Amino acid sequence: MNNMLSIAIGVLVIAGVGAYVFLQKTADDAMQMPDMSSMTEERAEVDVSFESTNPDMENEEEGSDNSDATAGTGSDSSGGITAAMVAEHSSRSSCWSSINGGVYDLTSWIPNHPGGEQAILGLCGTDGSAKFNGKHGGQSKQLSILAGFKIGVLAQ
Amino acid sequence: MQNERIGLMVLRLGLAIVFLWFGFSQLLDGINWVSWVPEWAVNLLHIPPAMIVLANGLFEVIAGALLALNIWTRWVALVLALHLLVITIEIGATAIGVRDFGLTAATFALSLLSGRERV
Repeated sequence: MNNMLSIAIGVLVIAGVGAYVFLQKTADDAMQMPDMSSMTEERAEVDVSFESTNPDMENEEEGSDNSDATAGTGSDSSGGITAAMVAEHSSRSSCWSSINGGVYDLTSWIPNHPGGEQAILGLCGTDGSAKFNGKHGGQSKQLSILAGFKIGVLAQ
Repeated sequence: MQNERIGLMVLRLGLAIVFLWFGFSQLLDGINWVSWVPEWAVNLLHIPPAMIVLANGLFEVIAGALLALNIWTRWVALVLALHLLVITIEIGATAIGVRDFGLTAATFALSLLSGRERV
C-alpha cells in the first residue's frame, strides 16, 4: 500500500513538472511571438539608417548572401544602435541592453538566467555595463554567453 | 522515526523536482542551454553542443523520474551527486556555483540516507 502511494506521488511529480515546464515554454513563446514582428521592423530600420550612412555597403552586399541583420545592426563607428533605441526596449517582452559598447537582446535570456529574472530585467533599456562588469567582469563563460545575444554595437 | 522517513521523502521529491525541471527544460528549450556546454565536453565527446544538451536533459529526466518513483534511489542519487559535482566545479565559486554545491551536498546526503530504504 505504501509502495503504491509512493509510486502515485512519483508519477504525479513527474507529470506535474513536465506539464509545468511545457506550459511555461508555451507561455514564453506566446509572449515573444507578437514582439518578433516589431523587432524585425526595428532591425530593418537600423539597417536602413546604417546603409544610408554607408553607401559603399550596397555594392559590397550585392554579391553576398549575407544580407541578414548582422551587417545592418552596425559594426561600424558610423552606424550602430543608439541609446535611445535601446531605451525603447525596456520591457520583459523586448529587453535590449548596451554593455561595454555592444548592444544585446536579452529577452530570451530573462527566464533562463540562473541568477534570477530580476537581474536581467534591471538591465532592460539601459547601459548595463556597470552591473554586468560588477557581477561577471572577467568571467569568460559569462562573456561568451553574453556574446550569443549580441545584435549590434552602440552608436557613438 | 516517522519524521526521518518524511524528511527523506521531502528531500527525495524536492531533488527529483529540481532534476526533472532542468531535464525537461533542456529537452524542450535546448537552444537556451547550449551556451552552458563547456568546451572540454565538446572536445571530449566530439558531438555538437545541442546534442550534449539533449542527452544531458534526457539523463536528468530519467534520473529525476527514478528519484520521484523511489527506484534505485541510493545509486541514482550518487550518480546525480557526481554529475552535479562536475557542474559545480565547472561553474566555479560564483553565486550559481555555491547554490549548486548545496544541491550536490543534498543529493549526496540523499544517497547516504537512502541506504536503509528499499532498493
